[in-house]
Amino acid sequence: MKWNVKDVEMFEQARKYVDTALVPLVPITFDEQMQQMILWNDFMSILSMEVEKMFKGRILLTPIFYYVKGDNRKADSLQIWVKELKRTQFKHVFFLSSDESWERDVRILSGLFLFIPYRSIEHQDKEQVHQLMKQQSQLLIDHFTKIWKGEVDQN
Amino acid sequence: MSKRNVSRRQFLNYTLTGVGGFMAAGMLMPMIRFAIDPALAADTGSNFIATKQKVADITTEPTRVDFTFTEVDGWYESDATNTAWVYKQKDGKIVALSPVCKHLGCTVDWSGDKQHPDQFFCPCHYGRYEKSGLNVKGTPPLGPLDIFETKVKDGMLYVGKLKTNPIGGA
Repeated sequence: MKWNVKDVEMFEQARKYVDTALVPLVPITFDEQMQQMILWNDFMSILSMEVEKMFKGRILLTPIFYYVKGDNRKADSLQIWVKELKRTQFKHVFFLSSDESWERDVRILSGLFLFIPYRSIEHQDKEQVHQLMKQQSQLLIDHFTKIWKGEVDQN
Repeated sequence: MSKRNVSRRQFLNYTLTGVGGFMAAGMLMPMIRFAIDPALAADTGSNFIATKQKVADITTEPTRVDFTFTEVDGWYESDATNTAWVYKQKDGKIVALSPVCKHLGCTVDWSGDKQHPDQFFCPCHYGRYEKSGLNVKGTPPLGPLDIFETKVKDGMLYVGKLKTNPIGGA
């Protein structure tokens, strides 16, 4: 489900089925790299919406977790999100990111990291973008189902 | 009390004007509706969306067919792309199924479960459907996959309204 009123209302009846939170992680900066960050944000927004559509009945797509690029303490802030998610109803937390600097923090955070390398979508038409996003989402199906079936430890 | 006497000529004038005005309004009405809501004018049965799928290339094996339409989501109106699972029955009839699981809305995958390669599989709560869209008993969905109306024009597949799949006995 998406982070909006309609979806959340719909799932009031089915809360127990939604046991997974998907958190997109997107860096921001306000220097000369700003344009690149904006493109990353677009890419991640579209991709996460596509993944949400695929697993709508089981995952909550949280708002994007933004952090300043190069922040060495970003894992601490994210851990607060994870604690809160797990305190409520979410057994599993998945992170979606194109930023490899999270690799160092993977061990500290109790969630599944899914690295999707950024691909430029600026000059593609809607159908090409859709195709790309579908392909990327398909790659994620295996990861999700393995965790849900308990075959793989999510750390 | 008014002592104004309306002459016959004036009376006729008023009446004709009234009727004329009424007739004019009657003629304008459909045009105003057209200007205000083009969707009404377009509602002449052409609600089918073109796909890039050639009908001749459709086989008995379900394949994904994408199509783009305008959708309203909260505050935003945008172009959305949706998918249908399309295949031909043995009698040549085209079937276009909605990939949206009837349990809680996830996207089903044809042959997604290796143990049931001739079924649609939902990775969220392991719901399954036969090729016809009929839900497999004992799995979470309580109804069959919805079905799209289809049309063929110039050898290309057109996708129309979503309907309840009659196979469920509905």
